[in-house]
Amino acid sequence: MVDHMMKSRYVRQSVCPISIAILALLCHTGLHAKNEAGQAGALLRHGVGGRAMGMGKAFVAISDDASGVYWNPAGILRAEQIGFTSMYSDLYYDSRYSFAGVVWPRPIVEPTSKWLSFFFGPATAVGFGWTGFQMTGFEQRSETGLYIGDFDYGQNAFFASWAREWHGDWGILDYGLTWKFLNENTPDLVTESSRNLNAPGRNWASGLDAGLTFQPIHAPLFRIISLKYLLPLKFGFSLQNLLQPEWDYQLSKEKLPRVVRYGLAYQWNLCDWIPESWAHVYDTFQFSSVLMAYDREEYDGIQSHSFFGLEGSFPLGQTGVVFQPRWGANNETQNRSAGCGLVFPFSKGASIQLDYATGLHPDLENDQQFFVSVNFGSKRDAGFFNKLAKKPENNADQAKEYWLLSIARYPGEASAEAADAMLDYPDSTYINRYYTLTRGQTKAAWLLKESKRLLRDGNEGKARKRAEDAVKEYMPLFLDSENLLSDEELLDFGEALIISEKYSNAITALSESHSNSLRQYYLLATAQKYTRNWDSAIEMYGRAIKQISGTDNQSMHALSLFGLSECLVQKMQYASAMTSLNTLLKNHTGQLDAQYPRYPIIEDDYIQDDAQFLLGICASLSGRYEDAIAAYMNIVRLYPGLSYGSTVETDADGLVKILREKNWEALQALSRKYLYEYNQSHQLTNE
Amino acid sequence: MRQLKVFLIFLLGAGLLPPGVFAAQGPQIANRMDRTLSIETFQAIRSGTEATLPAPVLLPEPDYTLGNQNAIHWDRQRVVQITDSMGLTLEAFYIEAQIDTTLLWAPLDASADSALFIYLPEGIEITYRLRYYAKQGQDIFMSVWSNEVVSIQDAHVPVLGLHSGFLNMQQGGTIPWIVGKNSELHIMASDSLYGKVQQVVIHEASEEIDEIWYYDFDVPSLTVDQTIPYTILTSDHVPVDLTFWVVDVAGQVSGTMHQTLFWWPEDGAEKQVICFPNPFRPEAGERSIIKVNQAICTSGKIFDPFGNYVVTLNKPEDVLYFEWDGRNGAGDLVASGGYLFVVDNQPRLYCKIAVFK
Repeated sequence: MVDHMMKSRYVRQSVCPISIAILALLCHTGLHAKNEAGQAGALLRHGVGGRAMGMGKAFVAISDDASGVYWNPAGILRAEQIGFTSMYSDLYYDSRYSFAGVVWPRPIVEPTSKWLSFFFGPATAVGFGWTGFQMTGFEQRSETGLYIGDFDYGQNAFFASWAREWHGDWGILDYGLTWKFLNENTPDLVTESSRNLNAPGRNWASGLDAGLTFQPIHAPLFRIISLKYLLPLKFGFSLQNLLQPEWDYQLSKEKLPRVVRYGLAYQWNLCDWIPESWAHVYDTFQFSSVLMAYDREEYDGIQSHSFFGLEGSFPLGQTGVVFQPRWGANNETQNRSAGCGLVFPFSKGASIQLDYATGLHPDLENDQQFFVSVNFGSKRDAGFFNKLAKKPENNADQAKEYWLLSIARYPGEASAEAADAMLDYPDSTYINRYYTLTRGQTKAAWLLKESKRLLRDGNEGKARKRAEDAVKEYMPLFLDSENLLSDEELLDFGEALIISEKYSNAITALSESHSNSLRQYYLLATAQKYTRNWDSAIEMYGRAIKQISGTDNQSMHALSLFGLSECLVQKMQYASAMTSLNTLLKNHTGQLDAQYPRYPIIEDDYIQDDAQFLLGICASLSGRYEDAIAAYMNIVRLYPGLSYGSTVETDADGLVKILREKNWEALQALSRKYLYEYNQSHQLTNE
Repeated sequence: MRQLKVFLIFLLGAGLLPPGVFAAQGPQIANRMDRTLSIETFQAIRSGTEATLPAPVLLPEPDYTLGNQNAIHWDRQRVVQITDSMGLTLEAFYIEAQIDTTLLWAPLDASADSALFIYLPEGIEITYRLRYYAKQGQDIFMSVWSNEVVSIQDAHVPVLGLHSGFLNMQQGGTIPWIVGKNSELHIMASDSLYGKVQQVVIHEASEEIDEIWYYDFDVPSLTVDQTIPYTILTSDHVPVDLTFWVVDVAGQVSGTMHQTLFWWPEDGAEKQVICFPNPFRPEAGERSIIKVNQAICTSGKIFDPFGNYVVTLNKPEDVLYFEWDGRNGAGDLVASGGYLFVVDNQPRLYCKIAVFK
């Protein structure tokens, strides 16, 4: 339930803005085919790759496989392995359309020189590709239709891509360049001198593409979204033909237009969106995801094109095989597409992927495309970056970058480990975001720590809120039948419950622990105290005090003595309470450990004034008036700057007068007033 | 009276009246005898001597004679043989032409074998006959009249009027074309009021052929509006220059008209959809003509090789081709490369077009 509520909140925070933005973009353009085709360079816009083609060509922000050399060179940095992709398509009317590409992310893990590091180091990727199409069966005919012969028309493009990444406060920016060579040929075309038509032979041109992808991990505006829901978001931008290839023809020259493509992609990791309470659904789909992408394309001579695509990723049981259905829509003529893929793992992390895509054409027969991909080599995934981050020779910045790269590969255990590691860095600006990402007990522990800090700072409301958040993280672990919480974590859970004022639950949780430690008894006693089970509380405080107290636990020992005294006061066993308080005052003369929580709230790091104050009350109510006066005056004399010092100081003249006049009734009245106020402020009233 | 004259002049100008009616000079015989006949001969002619000699023979005349003059021929040799055999001396010929109500006559030299009539009126049947005179000593003998020959003068050429050319001729491309070499030619022609169009002549010239073909109408008539068959002799896809004219019954030749075209083999002998020229270069002013066998197809689309929609082409039902200027729907010239034309709703009817720059 708690988890479900948490999810709902994140849904509101992150899904709505993204969905609204995408829907607005879709509505803005509409998906209508336009009669603007015929621009140069269609080969470089039609698309390659099984995933992209199945997703309606919305791929500029994804581009994380070998087809990235075509779509967006920056994307190839996100490839996890050396990957080879090939495509074969019959296209229309016996035209052949093919692609082959290879990507090698982070080729040299340990470069031996700066030069190698810059160009081929662990922050780079390279890729190569080729795409070509061949239309066969053109009939060469003269002006009078005389059949001269058949000829073909073909274009090829060869790509060489390089990409590098850059990390900043706002996120991870990948940038890349693709140098490409194009050629065009018309085999078997013959010269027709009668109309001055020269067979052009092979025509060459070259150009340059540039691309960016950006993962806005901590970018302004996006910080309102939890990391868990933000990491699957990526933006992409590519500028095709930054340097424009130019064909040199018989009658004129023709430049390929500059094509701007931009878009975003979001991966819906179903484990983050399905409530765990829906056990069956959650178990079935916790490793599944749905990738959604939206692209826009603009260049001279056309209105904008829009592309939208979806890709599911569903592991098939324990087989390791992953099924990937795909669907896409755009406002090109071939305006719908569908496809699917199967990923078959084989030895050493390698996998083979078979994909199929079809473009649905309103007038022509559907375009069928077949793809075979192989991925192999060591994975450049979150684990890879974790390993890099842990290398002892790294300086802090390098390690932090690697941890960040690991986190960026969310989800996965490795990225959670990286998020934990990020906490070790002095720059704690985004610690909360990392903890929210890692969730579970790590997050709970951090929340508890924060809660205790806030409590110590006197910010009770926020402290309680943090504690409640911690309880929400602990609760599923506590309720799990596999006892996921250790004894110490049970104590943390109990403590979070105490701060969030769920004392009965705290007693349950604390009782589960088998630590039998001072802390367990102290916390149990505290919870019992606030449920007014004075006897049980006294017993637990007693057990706590009896524990061998090391140096680290001096503060808790003192607090236990103090808590015991409070309970004894409630039971009107003033003498015992005074004994306990005197023990406390005798043994604890220093400050309380600043990190240690104190229940009830003690506004400063000194417990002595509190003890003297309670001692004064006890002495007064047990008829030892002069001892009471002495205790009160000790506060003013010894701890004038502390909280009770200032409280008693206002009554100092009255106390002197009481002592001079031996007006013990007035002293008792004052002490009862003190006790009443103490009980009120320490939630010890019996109402 | 003056108004009538103007009207008649108008009719004359319009070719509706024979010019002889108002000719500056009346009909004449140009080669009439230039010497004085002997008094005996003259008297014989005037007094009507009994015809005793055999008749001369006028050579046949066409029904229509070109122009305003006519040369009437006879067989003089035969006449000479007759007179010689009879011991007579051929003295003179006497030619006579009955022109409407007018009788035109003249003596001709004995050496003449023809009589040249000039300034003859047009459109009137003119009947010619001949006799001759011979003498023996002082005696004059006269032959009986020859056979009569009739001819009408026709001074106007026929007019090859509007002709719609070959039926189903397609205007697409730089040269028009037809499907099949056996085609039909629609001819419209007319002649003057007194003439008749008799024949169509077609001159076919190409790199292979240079021949003239004639077609005679069953019934010559003043006006012709007729479709005639014509089989092109030149091979398919080879440009043919065809020159047409008509000939009237008088042998008058009309002006000529020209048509250059080529022909495609009959439907079925080639693909159903053919584009030409291919490749085509819109920047050089060329258009891609997309010939279809099924005239009923009225629309089709151009796509780029990746199936992207470029433009829609339309045509009337009676036209056998689509025409593409190489522009997309936005009016921009498309890039060099391959394109597809596909007939709407019939994806198997397509052709591949290459655009070059």
